[in-house]
Amino acid sequence: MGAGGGGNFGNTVGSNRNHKEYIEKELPKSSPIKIPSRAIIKEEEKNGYTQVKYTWKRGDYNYTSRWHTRTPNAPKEQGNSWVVQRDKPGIGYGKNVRPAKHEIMIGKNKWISKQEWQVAIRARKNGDATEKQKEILDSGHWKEK
Amino acid sequence: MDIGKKNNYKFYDGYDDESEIIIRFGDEFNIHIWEGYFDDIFENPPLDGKGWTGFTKDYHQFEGIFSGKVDKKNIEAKKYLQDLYYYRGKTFKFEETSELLEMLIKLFEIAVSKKFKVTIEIH
Repeated sequence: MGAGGGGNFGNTVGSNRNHKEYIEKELPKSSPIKIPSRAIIKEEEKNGYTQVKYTWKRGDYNYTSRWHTRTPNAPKEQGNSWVVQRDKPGIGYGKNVRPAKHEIMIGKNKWISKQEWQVAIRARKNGDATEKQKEILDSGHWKEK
Repeated sequence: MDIGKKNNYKFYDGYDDESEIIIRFGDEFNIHIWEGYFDDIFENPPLDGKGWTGFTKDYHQFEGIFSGKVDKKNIEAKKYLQDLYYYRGKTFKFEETSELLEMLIKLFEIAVSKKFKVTIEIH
């Protein structure tokens, strides 16, 4: 299962039909959160790596499970990974006004605010992430199941 | 303010595997932004119950490129510029965010005066 270390999509590249089936049916099985078949799928070639995003709505939340291959500057041992986010819309009018809420999944039924996640992302980028921040980032970057 | 080359990656550099927001100002200039900076600007909206507009409305009510349905949208520069002014002078988590906000305000002011088509994308 999985797209393989080189991100070659289970060797489906070159066969559009197999590739589509892989993206729709096989790859979602490696997500740390169950992706419903109704999810909207977006595949994108970015700067040296590939990303596939699955988005769906459940209850009050919009969910995104984002898979990507190893990025060019990442350590060689880093394989493909998933990041799972859930978002609850805000309300701008009236008495129940509230901002939108954004969270990242770092464990089974364990979510942290996206703000905390992004502080850790930026600290890692700047080379001054604390041990706790490194743990958060490791926990939120899920290896393929 | 020096806005540099046609493509400005200053606010995306080093965030390769993170979500990227691109704002295109006609054929003149594109700015690439790590979503973390975007979140930093907009995560504390006005809470007066009078409703939101521009980026704030899209960002908090999941409309436009934040709806998950479209990756690209033309936006009305004047309306989005007015929204940006609200955040001027606010305190942000990241020290670079104020610089980004001022650059966006400058670019939107130019876009309004020169009637550039403005497009926003999420990747």
